[in-house]
Amino acid sequence: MMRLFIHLLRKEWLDAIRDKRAFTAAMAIAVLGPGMFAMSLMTAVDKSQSVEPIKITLEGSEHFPSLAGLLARQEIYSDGPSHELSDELSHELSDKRNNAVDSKITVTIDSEFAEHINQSEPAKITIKADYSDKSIRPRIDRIKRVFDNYSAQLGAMRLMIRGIVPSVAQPINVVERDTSSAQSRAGFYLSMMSTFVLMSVFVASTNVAIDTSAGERERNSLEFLLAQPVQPIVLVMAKTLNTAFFGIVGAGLTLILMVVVLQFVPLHLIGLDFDFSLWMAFLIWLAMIPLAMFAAGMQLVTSFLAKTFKEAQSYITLTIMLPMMLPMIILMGNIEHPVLGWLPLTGQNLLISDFIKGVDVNMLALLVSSLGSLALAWLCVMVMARGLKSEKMILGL
Amino acid sequence: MLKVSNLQKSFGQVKALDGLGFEAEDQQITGILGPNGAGKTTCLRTLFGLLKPDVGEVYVDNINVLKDPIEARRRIGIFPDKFGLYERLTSREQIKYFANIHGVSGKQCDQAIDKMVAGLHLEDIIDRRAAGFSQGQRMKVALAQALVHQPKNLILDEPTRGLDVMSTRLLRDILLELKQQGHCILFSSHVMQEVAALCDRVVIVANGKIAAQGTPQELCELAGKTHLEDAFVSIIGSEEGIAA
Repeated sequence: MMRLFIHLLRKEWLDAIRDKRAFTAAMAIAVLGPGMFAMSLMTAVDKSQSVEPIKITLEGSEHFPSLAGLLARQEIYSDGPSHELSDELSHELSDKRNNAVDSKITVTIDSEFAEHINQSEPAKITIKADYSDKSIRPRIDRIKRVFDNYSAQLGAMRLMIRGIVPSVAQPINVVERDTSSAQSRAGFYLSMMSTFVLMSVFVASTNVAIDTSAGERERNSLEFLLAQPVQPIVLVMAKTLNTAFFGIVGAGLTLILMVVVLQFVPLHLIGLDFDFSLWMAFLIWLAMIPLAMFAAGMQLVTSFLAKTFKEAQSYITLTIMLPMMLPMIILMGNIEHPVLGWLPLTGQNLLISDFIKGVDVNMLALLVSSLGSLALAWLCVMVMARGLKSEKMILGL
Repeated sequence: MLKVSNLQKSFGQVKALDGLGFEAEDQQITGILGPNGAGKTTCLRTLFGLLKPDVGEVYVDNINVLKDPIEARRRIGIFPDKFGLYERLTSREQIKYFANIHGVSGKQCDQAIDKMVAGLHLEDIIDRRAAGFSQGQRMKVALAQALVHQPKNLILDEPTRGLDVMSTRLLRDILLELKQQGHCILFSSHVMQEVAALCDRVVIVANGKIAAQGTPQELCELAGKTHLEDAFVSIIGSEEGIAA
């Protein structure tokens, strides 16, 4: 029995590994995940480092020409004529100004602005924008910050002229530290990572699963194989293990590339702080093995039920949605339930993010979810073994 | 020896087998002859243990196929109707796979394959992958994988379909040789010449039943005709589905 199993497994493996195109495609998808991950991290780093140039409508800049230059230094450009800027500055910035996003904000400098400044009276600037548009708020804040700073500088100078230490006028110093955005960003990237890892387990084995089931039927070798003196369950076990092998290889590849990617991305710049070592990747990879068995079983059942290769492909697309959607749904819906850690798939998903975050992993829950995955894989094997004894399945009716 | 008796099998409303029964003896070539849709392939599938008859018994060398299909399958070599070779495996790997399934492995397996290579003239294709094989080459590999475990019984479903003259001849010679060695050979066909040239006994099947059986000679006498083809048409009462 064991020897027969090994013979069957060897043939399945040989047949699958020689399907070079399918194999390459499967592994390419495993590479794609970390690639996309790297790209989105890079863009995030890029964004965090540079301020987005915006364009505003500046009315009345002739009343106080230096304000336009002040704004331009913070990458806020006015779309009016550039006569208010010095020629040198205007030339240097004209390119940047062309690339700036139109913010639909109008800033009006009061006609008596200069006069009021000179007389130490409050000079008026009006900011006009649609405040219900949420995306506009940070831009307004940026503009306000420019004026606030200028105002504070001017105020401090006035106090000093009058012999007063400027800090007198600043009884409280509020220090802001925004941690919420970094945390939610971390959550996003962690769920992205686990999505790619879980996905690789499923996607890398898809082609093999279809080829060895619906493909074998379509090529007319299934019926002949079933007429041989071999119990369907042994056959199905060999097919499942072989299919799972490709999922495991895919996950390994994805994890290794994740380690490589994270070595090169300066995570601290976007407020992320996780350390992902090869050893951690290895442990996660081990936890993916039972999941790969389940993924293989599920995909094989699906494609054995299909009559043709094509049909199997469309069914399997649905099963692959599962690992893709699940981590996202959990993140978006902010679903937190202790039971998730104990279930197959969600358990592994949680493990990946907990592990990377450095949170203590509930080993018992992991064990249960792993055993659950294996139990489901075994269930799939039983279903297939039973199915392959049925006349309908054999003849593909 | 292969034996089926009183086989009945329905697929929904269609009655594929309706009391079919015959025996195929050792050291004989038995042909199942019948028009398309007569129930030939269904009958063979019950012999492989893939289909369970509603009523009836199936024996391979006195082993009840319905009770112990695995043991029964060990004793038959199958040359299927549509043989799908594994395109990415070489002929050797392919034949070895089926030898292994039948419990032949190691040195014994290598020897068995060498024997197949010599007997079926597989020298030029044995280490090539099946993708791109001609129909004749495919036939030879399929035959080798059916025979590699040296089964006592060989069952062939429409073996000459799509084969050229040379391949057909080779197949015929091999079947005759196997018969000499004492094997029991059962093959289904709707090609008259082939059956007349090869078979010791012919079982004519129509509508899931035995229409007549005997040697080709006996069948001609039974129908009062000189050619088996005429006898066949006369026996089943229609000219449908027969290739001369």
